[in-house]
Amino acid sequence: MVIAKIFVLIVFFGILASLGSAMVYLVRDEGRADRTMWALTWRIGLSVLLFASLFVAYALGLIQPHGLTPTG
Amino acid sequence: MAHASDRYYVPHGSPWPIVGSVALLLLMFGIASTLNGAAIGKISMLAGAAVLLFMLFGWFGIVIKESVDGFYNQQVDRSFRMGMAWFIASEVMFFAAFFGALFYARQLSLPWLGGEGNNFFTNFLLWSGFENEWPSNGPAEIGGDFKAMGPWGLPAMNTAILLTSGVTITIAHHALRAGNRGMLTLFLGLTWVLGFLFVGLQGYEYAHAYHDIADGGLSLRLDSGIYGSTFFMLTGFHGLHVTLGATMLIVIWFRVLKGHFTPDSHFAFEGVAWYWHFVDVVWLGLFIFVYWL
Amino acid sequence: MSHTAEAHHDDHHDAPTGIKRWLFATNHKDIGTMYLVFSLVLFFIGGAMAMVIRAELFQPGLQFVDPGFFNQMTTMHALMMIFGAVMPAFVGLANWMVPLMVGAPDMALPRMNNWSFWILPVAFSLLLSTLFMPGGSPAGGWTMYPPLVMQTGDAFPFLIFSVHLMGMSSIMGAINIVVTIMNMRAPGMSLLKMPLFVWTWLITAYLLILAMPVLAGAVTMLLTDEYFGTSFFNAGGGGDPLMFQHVFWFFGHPEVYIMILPAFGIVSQIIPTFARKPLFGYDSMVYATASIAFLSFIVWAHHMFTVGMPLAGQLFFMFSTMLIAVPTGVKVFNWMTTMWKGSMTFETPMLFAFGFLFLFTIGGFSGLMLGITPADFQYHDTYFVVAHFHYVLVPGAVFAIMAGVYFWLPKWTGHMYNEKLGKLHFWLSAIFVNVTFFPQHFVGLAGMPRRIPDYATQFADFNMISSIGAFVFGASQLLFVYIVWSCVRGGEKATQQVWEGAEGLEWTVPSPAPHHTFEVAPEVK
Repeated sequence: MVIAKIFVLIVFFGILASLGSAMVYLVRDEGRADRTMWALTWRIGLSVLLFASLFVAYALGLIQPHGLTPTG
Repeated sequence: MAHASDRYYVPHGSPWPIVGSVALLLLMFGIASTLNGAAIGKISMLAGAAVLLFMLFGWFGIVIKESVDGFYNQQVDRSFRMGMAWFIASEVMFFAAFFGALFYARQLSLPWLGGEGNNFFTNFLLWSGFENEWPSNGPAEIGGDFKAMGPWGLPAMNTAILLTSGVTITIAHHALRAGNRGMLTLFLGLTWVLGFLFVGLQGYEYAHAYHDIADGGLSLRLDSGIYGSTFFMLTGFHGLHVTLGATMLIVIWFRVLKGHFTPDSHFAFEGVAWYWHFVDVVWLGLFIFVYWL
Repeated sequence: MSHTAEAHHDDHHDAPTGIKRWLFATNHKDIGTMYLVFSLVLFFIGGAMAMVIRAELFQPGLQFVDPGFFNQMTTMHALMMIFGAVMPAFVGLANWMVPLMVGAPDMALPRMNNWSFWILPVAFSLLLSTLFMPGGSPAGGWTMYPPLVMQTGDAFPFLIFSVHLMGMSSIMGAINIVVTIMNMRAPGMSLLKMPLFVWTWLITAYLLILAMPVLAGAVTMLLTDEYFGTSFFNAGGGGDPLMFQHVFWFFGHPEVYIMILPAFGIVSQIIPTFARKPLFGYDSMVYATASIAFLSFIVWAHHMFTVGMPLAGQLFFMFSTMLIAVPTGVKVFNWMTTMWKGSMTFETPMLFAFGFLFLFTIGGFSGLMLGITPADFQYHDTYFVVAHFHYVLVPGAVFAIMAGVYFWLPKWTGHMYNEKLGKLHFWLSAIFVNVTFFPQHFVGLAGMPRRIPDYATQFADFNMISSIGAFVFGASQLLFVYIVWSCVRGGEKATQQVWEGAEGLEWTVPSPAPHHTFEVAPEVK
């Protein structure tokens, strides 16, 4: 349970890092190198991975979404 | 071009900023007056929005024209890139205020209202019987019964749509660098179509949330306590940014059709593409933190 | 430089004239001038409000205005002075001086520069218009704490939107300054060769970019709580009014440094000039500024020690606050050491810088007292707080701005100002700022609450002294307007270097600085 959540957070930080580094390359390379493009490719790849792993983790019962139960 | 690229381009003067200020005056006066119930407000608001649109067309138009005419050297290009980077930093902090509100409510104010820490008497005397839970509309149950928005169905589908648009823009990016204009046009076009599809589905999701439980909805509204507040503010501001990003995608799509970009000179494309990835990541963060963690 | 490039750029020199020059301005000097004039106007509007406050407090009992209007005056005075006078003045100085100091032809994004100025008159027209509305102006204090601020009448949305606009203006201005400094420096002007005014403004701009959007978020939540039924600051809905204070001060404390770091920069330019010695400990000044900026993001809750925080929170925020004294101390000692054995003269800018050093340090020390949690329980919301922040803002920020204006006025206008009158202005200001604010320490320690139009009779004497000081201080600022005005009109011709000990690129251009400077980047060795 907790490990699944930590995994989600780690991948999310990886996504943030690739997005951030893409911005750095965007400013530094001025469109003349491929580093921005590859950083953004990493970021979308990791995001798809995270999205898929949420489904897998749910199917394995490792993680539960909240907010399915009505309150009030 | 007669313009030397070894000089930093400084425009002679521009009417657009002052037009923008007039637009903001009309717009802000209009909204504020409308909130105060004055009839003049709506007219002023519409006029302000119209002038603002006029300003955006004019301002971006002149910048694109100057760019195409070769007025900008590498240094000007770098100024735009840095300016955008720091604008994004300010956007991140704007979202941080609302994410901060979400965390504060979940980690501090709701537990305190439930009597945690040294707040036993707060709970006992003021909100006897209230227990901390999430989602919550607070001890006074502001807004009445509601159902929380579940992650399955539309939210998951929307996430998939936005992620797909992230994939298509990445393919477009690779195509641009490879000089493959056909692929670029196709996948960039797909990206903005997916973007607007997301906005449309989000609107549908909101309508579903707003309907009464009795009518098959969720009775989840902006005034459904702190859950409704944070849910709609975060997703609402995000939706606004998606709309903005998709609009910018259309603009650069038309610029691609006109052949404005080359594999080595395409700041507008890179800027918008990055912005789109940013909006996508914010959504992913929302999806994870609002629905899962 | 090729001949065609030269020929092309000649047409940049026909500066637009008349109203278009100002409305359509893209020139950093014109925009800087507009910022400075705007801030001077707002300084007097905010000052007039302060005069109303001091007139009402001249004697105990209700004198001139009703308590509601008094509260409007305290709220509006703060908003005018912070967002209308001090911040635009610093941005104006940055507009004028940063491109000159780094050897840039202009600001990096000239059109946006114009917009960030012209948003300000819009914002303040909206805010000032509330004075004439039913229910009057906002009266819940500039900190806009809910639930009190929710009782504002028709003025409420105008308050929120004007704050949004001020934020937009500040963020755009800050982005422009960052990009100018990072991208437009002349060849050879490495980061650690930049004048300190440029350094402090760079760091201030980062603070603005990171702090202002948080304020925008906070006031947006106020707006939706008031009109759209959200519960961010409503405990009944699971929110917390206290949360606003946290979000607000997360912006508010960096804001405090936004208003003082550029002042540090100005003083760091002036003291070496008139001591005729290079600044002592340049590198440590840069690192100290950066440390202060970093710390400013982790001290915010010292503004709210009395709200009932967990003990760990109180301790953390007390110690982090104490830490700020270290880099600030580094700065003060560096300025003193710069003067040590210097060949000093005391022209007006130096007098103001010297006054700054002395009086700002007093404000810093009272801040240290307020930062001690148990002591703050006594001081909180008393006139001691008022005395503290006026010491850092008036003889701190405002004196530094005036020092900067006197320092650079000859470069802007090409004329020397009237030195005798300048000195008179300094002495009147320095004496009466103390007459105004020093007694407020005493009444505060004795328990006089702030933001109250009436008070117990034992505070009468000190309040009367304070009011007299305020009236004379206010009146003596008219002298400042006269000095600036007459300097613009004429006077002794200024040399290129202006001051004997002045060093830096800005002193290598003619006085007055031509409309366009450094179109060819200078070489810095």
